[in-house]
Amino acid sequence: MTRTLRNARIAASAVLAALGAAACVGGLGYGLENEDGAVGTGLLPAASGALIAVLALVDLAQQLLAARRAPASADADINAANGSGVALLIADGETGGPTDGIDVLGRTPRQRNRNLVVVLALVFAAALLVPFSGLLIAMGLLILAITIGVERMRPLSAVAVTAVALACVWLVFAQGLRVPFPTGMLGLI
Amino acid sequence: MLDNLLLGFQTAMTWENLVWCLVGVLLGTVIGLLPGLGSTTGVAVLLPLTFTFEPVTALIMLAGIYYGAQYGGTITSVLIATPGEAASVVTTLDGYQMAKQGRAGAALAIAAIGSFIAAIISLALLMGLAPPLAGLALEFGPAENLAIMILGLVIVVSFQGGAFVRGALMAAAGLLLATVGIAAGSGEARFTFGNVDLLSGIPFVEVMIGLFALGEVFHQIRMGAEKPIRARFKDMVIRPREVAKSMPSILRGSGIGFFLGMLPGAGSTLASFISYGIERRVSRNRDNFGKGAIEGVASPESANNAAANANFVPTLALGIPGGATTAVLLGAFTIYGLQPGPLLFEQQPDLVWGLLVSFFVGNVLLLVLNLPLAPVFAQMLRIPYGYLYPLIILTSCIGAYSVSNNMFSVWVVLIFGVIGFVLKELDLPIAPLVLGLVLGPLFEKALVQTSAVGDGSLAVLFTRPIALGILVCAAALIAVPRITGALLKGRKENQKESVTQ
Repeated sequence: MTRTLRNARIAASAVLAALGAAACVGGLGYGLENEDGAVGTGLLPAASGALIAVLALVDLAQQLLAARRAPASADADINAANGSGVALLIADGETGGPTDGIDVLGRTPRQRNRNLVVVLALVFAAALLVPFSGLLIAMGLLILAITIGVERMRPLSAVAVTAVALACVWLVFAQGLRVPFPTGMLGLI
Repeated sequence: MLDNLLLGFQTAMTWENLVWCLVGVLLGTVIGLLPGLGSTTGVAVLLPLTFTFEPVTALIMLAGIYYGAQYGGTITSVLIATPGEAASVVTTLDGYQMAKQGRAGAALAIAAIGSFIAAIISLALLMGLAPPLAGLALEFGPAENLAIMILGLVIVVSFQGGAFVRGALMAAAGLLLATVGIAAGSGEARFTFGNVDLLSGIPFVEVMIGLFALGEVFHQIRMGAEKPIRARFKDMVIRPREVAKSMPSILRGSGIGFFLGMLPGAGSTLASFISYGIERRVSRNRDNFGKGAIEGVASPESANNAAANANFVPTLALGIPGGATTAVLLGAFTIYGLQPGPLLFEQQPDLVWGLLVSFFVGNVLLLVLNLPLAPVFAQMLRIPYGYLYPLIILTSCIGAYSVSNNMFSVWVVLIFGVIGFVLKELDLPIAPLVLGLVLGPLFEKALVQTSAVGDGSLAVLFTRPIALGILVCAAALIAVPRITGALLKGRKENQKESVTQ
């Protein structure tokens, strides 16, 4: 396990412990018991929140103990023991060597990380665009942007893929199942 | 009994019923292939089509949609790690791994074969035992249901092996997420922060699409493109040896599925999770579970199908729906002027037995259609991932929107897509989170009812023999592996010491 992944796991456990504690407090606020003594609105949130907090702290302690036991040189062994392939990839990303972890399309881990960020940004941007363009147009633009901008497809192929996919979706969902898609301010489809 | 069976075959095997059963199975499979549209939505959407039919024909077609949609969900679970329903979540664990190894055809075939065998077993059990089993299901009150849900969660957590703490953490997180919205007991809104959309809770279909479909897409983008899977045709076809090897898993899954399917509530989901958990402990091939074990597909798929059939026990015999889809079917019964309950078996024997036999017929059709089609479906994996994932994003978002015709669903998918990606990166198990979320509302309802039965005390759980027995099993599942592990470790250390001495 690399130091980055270990730190991420430690941070995740800490965040979960905090969230669990907050949920527990929130649950207590709703009340554990009703007036008749039966289970109250807050029991399940409080109990599950407390359980999350305790388990996250146990996990945190395990991570910290593992970090203390395993120096950086033993990273590979721990990674193999944990069966995490992701960790290896992160390690590649950290070293950033030109030949490390290159995929079949010749992309380095750093390029793939950038692609992931771009795709995430595009997906959320498309969802934000829906009130203006409508859902189908926003999704069409999203597919176009990903296929051309990220996957470097030829524009003609990308347009064809997008058009066929949108036509299928429109036929099945809008026409077949009568799903009323939002058409946004443009009011087209 | 034989007369009833013959009457059922006479009813189900008319040309009209056979044709509509085939149409139902085909439509169901197509609906199951679309993310977000499971069997419940499929039956509900297509219900109006059957209004002009004879009741028995309509019910046969709707039942065909039911298990056709389940098989459609299996196809997406195996090929693109996108379960159509909560009950298909565990199929992704080994099915998707098999697909990545070029064995998608075999995974889909064993799912069809397992479902077919489960259908035969459950049909036999349904015919012989439906009325007495319905009485047994009535013995399951809130305390027993609560105990069985605890057992389900424990099994799912325990099949995480060494990562028990993280499994339990995710199951608890699922339960916590399920508390968002209006509380089961009091009707009070919780953790909604003034958002009207959250009043009905976090929708689990959208969560599943996000966690599995988009989470996997983001993960794959980061992992990098692999060569498209170009498996040889013979690898796509299931081998007789694999069918024989999977048979014990199929039989165990069918038994577990049938028993749990009779219980109203999340029968199919619990059945698939529990059968997978048990199989992971008892299978000879348990070391390969999670890495593409064929038994890891056969067992939950058989359990899922057996549970779907057994769902009809409380529906037909008691008028209590076994699950969401049978609740819609129960609505169909009333639309056709039928009153499910103990008298239905006496008053409408041709309808009841015709419907039960149609489960068998429908599964034969599914098997005949899907065994040759499994390798064809598997060809989808030949498409380079760069072309495939934009389409997965598109169908996930559109499918999610169509669940409730609301952009809130799309946002849930996107947010849980990111969460799914993070969980994958951190090696945190997703299946317990989904089960916790699905079971959460039922769990809380059973908790409230159990406390009401016990006048505010949950100690009633320990005074009812069935509930106590189930809880003892759950405790044993947690404790026994640890105790035996500690004993074995101690024995090994003693042996080492004696060798050094």
